[in-house]
Amino acid sequence: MKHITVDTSKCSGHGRCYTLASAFFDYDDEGFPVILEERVPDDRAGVADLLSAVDNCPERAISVSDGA
Amino acid sequence: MHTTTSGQYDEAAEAAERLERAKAAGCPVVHFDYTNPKPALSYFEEFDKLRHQGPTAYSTYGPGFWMLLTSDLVGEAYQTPEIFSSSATIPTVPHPDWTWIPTMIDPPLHSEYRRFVSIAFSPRFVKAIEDSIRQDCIDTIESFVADGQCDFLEQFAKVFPTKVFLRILGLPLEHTDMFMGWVETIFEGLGHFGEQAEDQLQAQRDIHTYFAGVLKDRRENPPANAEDDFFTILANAQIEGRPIRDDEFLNMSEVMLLAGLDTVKSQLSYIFYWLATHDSDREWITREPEIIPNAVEEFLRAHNIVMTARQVAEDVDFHGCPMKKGDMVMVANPSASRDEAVYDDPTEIRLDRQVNRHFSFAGGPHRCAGAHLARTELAITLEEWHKRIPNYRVTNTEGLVESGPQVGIEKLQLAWEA
Repeated sequence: MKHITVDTSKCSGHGRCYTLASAFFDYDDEGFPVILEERVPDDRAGVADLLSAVDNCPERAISVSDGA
Repeated sequence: MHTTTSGQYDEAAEAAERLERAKAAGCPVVHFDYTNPKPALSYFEEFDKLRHQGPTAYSTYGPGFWMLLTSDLVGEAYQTPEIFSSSATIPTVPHPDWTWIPTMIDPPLHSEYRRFVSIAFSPRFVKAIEDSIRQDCIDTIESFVADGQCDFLEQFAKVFPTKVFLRILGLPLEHTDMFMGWVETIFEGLGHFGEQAEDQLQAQRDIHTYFAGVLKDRRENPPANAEDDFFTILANAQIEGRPIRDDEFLNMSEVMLLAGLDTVKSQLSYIFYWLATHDSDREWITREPEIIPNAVEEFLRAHNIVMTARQVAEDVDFHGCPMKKGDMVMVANPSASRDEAVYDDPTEIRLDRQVNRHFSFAGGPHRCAGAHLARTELAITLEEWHKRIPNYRVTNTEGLVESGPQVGIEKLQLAWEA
């Protein structure tokens, strides 16, 4: 499983995550990301997009960790 | 005869002391006059040179300012507003005569103002009006496509984003030239000294006079769509549980114009200059329009138009720079976005670059609230333009120049087979 977290003290709503990985992130009225599911299976379609969202976050606010 | 006032004397003495501090710390000392007009794309190369000397520098231009040149340091500064305050945001103006809101307000008060802007330009809203943005873009291109040529800035880059922006804000389109005149005067004055700085302050006063009229109008005659009208919402805003003050309303209105009217124009000037002079990238965009959102990020990264600044709020030794309270620090977005530590071949444009976490929209709490709108406008422009005008060239040699603190190419004449 992959565990997705967003550090809200760093996130400033650039929106790269919900643009690149819309299967994993939505957004709220002010443009801050909303994680759709905090835990997703490793073989979920589009997991590469999720990792791309991590790499493209200017604030380095997204973490994806492996684990149960 | 000494005509210097004590205030100016203090400033000169402080500047000398600051320079000594920078020298003693071994910080590269440069004279970075960002207002000096140079050939298009020069400033990006100048930042590359500075960054190759070290992650920080000290510039003696004006009263002097520190420079943060790498992605890590710029990101850290943005994320540490308690040390890097937004109380002054122009590198050579430590004591500004104005207070842009929310630009120059630090957290936590910042979010009281910011939410109104964030909601007005939210990704949800931008998506909802995408069709009308696209139509504005098409109409603008079609107004000159048959001519086989255009003054790109005057006929497109100033026209299309302005139309979209003024409609969102509910401001009259027929005031475009007046708004644009004020905004250009302000950007031409920022960071200068003397007459241009005086003109800038006058333009700021003119904007406030205009918006005092808007405020009165929205309070006395709220429009039919009051619950959707930006300035009616703002006129009735609650800040920390009390009604917004007139000066707050005016300072926010000024920021809306400054942020909305010049930025997309300047970014477009670099994109179209690049594509007109690089056939393979232009052909790629036409052949594979799916690449456009990624290409937009790459153009934003490589040609990042805003050099902003922060003011040191408490004495700090920041990565070897002995900074004191009140010092100015240029947060060099254009350099950070071309940092070799983050990007392979950062000075090259690669439309399919996979990792792109540029600071073209700054970072931290003050991240550009118009970023979602700007990205949409840039992508739609690239799509609609290349459907109609796939091949074009630059025909002017004069005016291909830029100057800061917000760079943009001054004149761009394009021609194509009509």
